[in-house]
Amino acid sequence: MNTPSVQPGGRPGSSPRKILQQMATTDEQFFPCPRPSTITVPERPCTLDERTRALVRLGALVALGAGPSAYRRTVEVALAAGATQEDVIDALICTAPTVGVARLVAATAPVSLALGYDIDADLEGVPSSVS
Amino acid sequence: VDQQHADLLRRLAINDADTLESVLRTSLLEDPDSGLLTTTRALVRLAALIAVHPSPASLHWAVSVALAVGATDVDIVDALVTVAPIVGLARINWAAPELATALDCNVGETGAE
Repeated sequence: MNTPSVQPGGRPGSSPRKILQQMATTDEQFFPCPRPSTITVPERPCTLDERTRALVRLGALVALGAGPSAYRRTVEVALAAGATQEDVIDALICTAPTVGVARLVAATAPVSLALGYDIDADLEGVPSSVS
Repeated sequence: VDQQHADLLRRLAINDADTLESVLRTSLLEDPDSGLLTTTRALVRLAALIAVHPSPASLHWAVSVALAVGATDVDIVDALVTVAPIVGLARINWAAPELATALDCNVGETGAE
């Protein structure tokens, strides 16, 4: 994308490359968290603690088949808020009846990576059962 | 469709938990190995459910389960608000009145109770 043909409106100074990069990496400046700037929600205290909110967000991400960066950021927030690795895995598992096996399996590798466990790299050293 | 299968379809459509557990061969609620609070698990499931645009029956069931295990009305609304940036306005606009109904709270067409 050396010569952008379209300049997105409302984001002066941001190149298409930069915008796509921010979107792909769930950049906080592009996606103000927890609420996007386009949604006006009256400020009110949230009764859920940050750890629970992060796990709730994880449930929604699994259901939608989110990208790795979204999982990474959410898991980071959950862990920083006091969730354990087991909590994150338990939250992933408890979505299974709701989202189905396909979504669960698809989410497992990126969530694992967010927890510091690279399943793909690990599996590379395991002989395949299929020749 | 014979009577047996008609009954099965009807039970699935109303989110009959026993039937779903039988079909899925898993418990919808119980997980003795989980260290999460049952309220947290209920809210995580609710979030996942909102994201997949469920039938009202499923959403109402999830809300009733969350309330039964100790979540409050406010917890449920906060779960909806928490996932709003992720699932988007379309999902939220659909889910909000359904949640209100499940919470026995009439928000009306204008959004004002």
